[in-house]
Amino acid sequence: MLPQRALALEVNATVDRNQITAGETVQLTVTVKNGQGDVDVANVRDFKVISRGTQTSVRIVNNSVSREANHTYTLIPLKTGRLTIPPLSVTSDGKRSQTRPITVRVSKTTQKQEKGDKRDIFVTADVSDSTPYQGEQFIYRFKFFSAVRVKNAGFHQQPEFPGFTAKKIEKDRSYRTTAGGRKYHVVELTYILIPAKTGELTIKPAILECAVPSRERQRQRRNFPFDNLFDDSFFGNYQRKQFSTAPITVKVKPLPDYTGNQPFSGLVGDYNIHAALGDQKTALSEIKTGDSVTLAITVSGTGNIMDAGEPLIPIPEEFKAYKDNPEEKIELTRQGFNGQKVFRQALVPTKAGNYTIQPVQLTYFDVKTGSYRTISSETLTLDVRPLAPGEDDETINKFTASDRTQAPAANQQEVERTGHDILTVKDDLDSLKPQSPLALNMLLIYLAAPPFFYLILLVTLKMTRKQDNATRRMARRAALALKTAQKQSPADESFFTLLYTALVSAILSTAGKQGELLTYTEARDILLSGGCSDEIADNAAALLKQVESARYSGVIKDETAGQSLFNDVKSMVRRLQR
Amino acid sequence: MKAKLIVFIIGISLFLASGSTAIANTDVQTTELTAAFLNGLNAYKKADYELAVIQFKQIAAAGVKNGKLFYNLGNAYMKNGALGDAILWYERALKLIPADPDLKFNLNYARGLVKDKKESESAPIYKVLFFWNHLLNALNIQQIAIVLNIVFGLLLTARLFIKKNVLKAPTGIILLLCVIFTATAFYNSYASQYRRNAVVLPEEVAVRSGLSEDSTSLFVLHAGTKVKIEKENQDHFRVFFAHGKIGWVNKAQLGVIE
Repeated sequence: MLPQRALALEVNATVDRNQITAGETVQLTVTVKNGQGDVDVANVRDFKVISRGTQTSVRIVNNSVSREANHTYTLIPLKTGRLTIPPLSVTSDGKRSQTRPITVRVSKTTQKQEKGDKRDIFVTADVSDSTPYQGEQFIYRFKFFSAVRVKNAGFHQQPEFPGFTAKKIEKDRSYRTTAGGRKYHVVELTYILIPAKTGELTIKPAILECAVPSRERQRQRRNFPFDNLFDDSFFGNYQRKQFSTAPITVKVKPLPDYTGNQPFSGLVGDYNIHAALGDQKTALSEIKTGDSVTLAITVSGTGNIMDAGEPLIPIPEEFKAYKDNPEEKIELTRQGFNGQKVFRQALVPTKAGNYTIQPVQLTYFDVKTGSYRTISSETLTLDVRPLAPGEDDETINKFTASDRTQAPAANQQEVERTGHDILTVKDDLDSLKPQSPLALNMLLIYLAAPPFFYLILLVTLKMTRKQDNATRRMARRAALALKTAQKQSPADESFFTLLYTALVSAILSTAGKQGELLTYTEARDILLSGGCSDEIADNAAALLKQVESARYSGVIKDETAGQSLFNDVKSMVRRLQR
Repeated sequence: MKAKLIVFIIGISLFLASGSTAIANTDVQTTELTAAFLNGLNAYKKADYELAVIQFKQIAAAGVKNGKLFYNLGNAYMKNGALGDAILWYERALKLIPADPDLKFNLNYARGLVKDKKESESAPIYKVLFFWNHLLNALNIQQIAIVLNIVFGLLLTARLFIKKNVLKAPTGIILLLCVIFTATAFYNSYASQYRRNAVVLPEEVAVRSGLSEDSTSLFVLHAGTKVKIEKENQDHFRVFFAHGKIGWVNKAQLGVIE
């Protein structure tokens, strides 16, 4: 860091010219040397000051640092005549320095215009009424005249309306006109103004900036380096210029004191009021108790209609009223705010009868006559029929404000719960039937029962089937042997073998045993142990012996003896199987 | 052979019948209870909910376990302003008539009035996976299990005599159902024994760290809140409300959902 040598603070102010006409601007440059600090421009009263930026440069020469800052301002004269830029003070490091005052002469534009306006470009502003009432709307028009082609036109300074409610009409008008013998292209901007205060109010100048073709070679504003850049390389032969309108003074008159009986609505302008029942198209004059009808109060006209509050609507006591949000339909035209505001409420009569809805009154300030005026709506009558017996009286309570339409068509709505309660008791007599589950041991018994029975069945079957099988097989064999033997004669070799087989099988079947051969003692024992009587056992054994001897010795050859033996065996087999 | 089978079936049915007749009440008792039930209904309709509670409770005290009765008792308590008791009886009814729409509606309504926000919701996936256990009560499940067991036994028996394979598929299906329902019945039996829930009866109950009245109050539960019973002592239950919220409550302040 180099030690900064204290140099004297130097402040200078220069203007680019000191002879202008109203609507032109002055470029003021304040140069601050050897110091840092802002320029106090608050005491410039005759001009509107717009800061254009600061350019700073630092120079180091022989260990001494010099710093230079150029503050640039655009000044717009607020009046004509000899105007003074007062001394401007700059404070740096506790030191204060001042510029010297500068005088600028501002001459009136009008004189020049009357002489035949040779200007290529100019702007004007006017108002439709310079003495409006407070709350009365009037129009401010800004016009931009140009006889030459311009580029990049735009507001450097938007028109400002302190003390007014201002609303710009979105669409700018553009047309051609002749002024002072020259053809101009005009762009017109319209604002609707409503004074919020009384007294003298000033609409500040609006400044338009655009690039215009430069006729003069000589540059007027050398000290703003960017201008050169724009003029030469970017815009070619164009030069940026600013045009200012004259300030306009409006004298706002207060509204005269109101002495009427009706309350003043606060509306200023020109208004109408209407009242209607039901739909706008179908005037309704007869409804049922509990049905709803819409009462619409329409306030329409020109002026500050958006400020319209709900007028006092005299509703008979027998009606329940459900207010709706007011419906606004307001347009911004070149003549000002224009439109209507509709106040709707749904009326539900609770009693039958003939009712009259008294006119709704509205008091406003009529700007045309400059006096207060009270207007009234129509008187409405409504015939409310009683409910026919059986019709649901509850509809009164179920009615909601959103249910405005009178249309009978089913307007499906989500079913909403209107009450909260539990469902009622159950009166079935089976409410006393026990439903408690079985205890675990009972459940186990029940569940175990089927497999248990199944097992028992399985075991029994297994045991019985084994016996059955032998008995049945032997019996079948006995029967088969007998059957075969019957077809043969005793002369055949196998006849006695078959008889033997039949008898043995029959004996074995009684004991549930299987086998082929038996001695007659064995046969006797089997039969006895099988529960046969001694007689049968002996007989069977004897018969067996007989068949055996016949089989092996071949003693019996004749037909009859053989046949009788067959019969004996057959009867014995039958007896045994019984 | 056929005679044996018939005897076998008759034997089983007699066995089953003997079981159900054993539970039936005597005629005199039945008439008394019916009278009490009708009195309760009348009292309820006349908005004398206190009397309705007394009548219905008398029937319940006589050992009648019926979902509709419990539902009515819950309603009577609800109308009487006893939210805890109402929810207790609704919950008890839910065990017996789990699919009843009236009961579900009223229980939902009552639960909506409970001040404590439920922290441990039973996962709805179990209601889908084990839907039969949420549509039928424990007795129905047991009955179905028993019937399926019998049908399965009969099918097996039939297969002893009909050697062909036609019965193979039905037997398999019945066996599967039989296993499912039997297992469910056993689970229910286990759950009723060891997984008990209870409902807070008084307006406010302090859940304490210990058994005495001067033990630290850990948190406060309000009427109708459902808790799990984890442990039982002489006069106290150790209850589980949500993760990290357990403690001891006097038995008199809780109603166990049996």
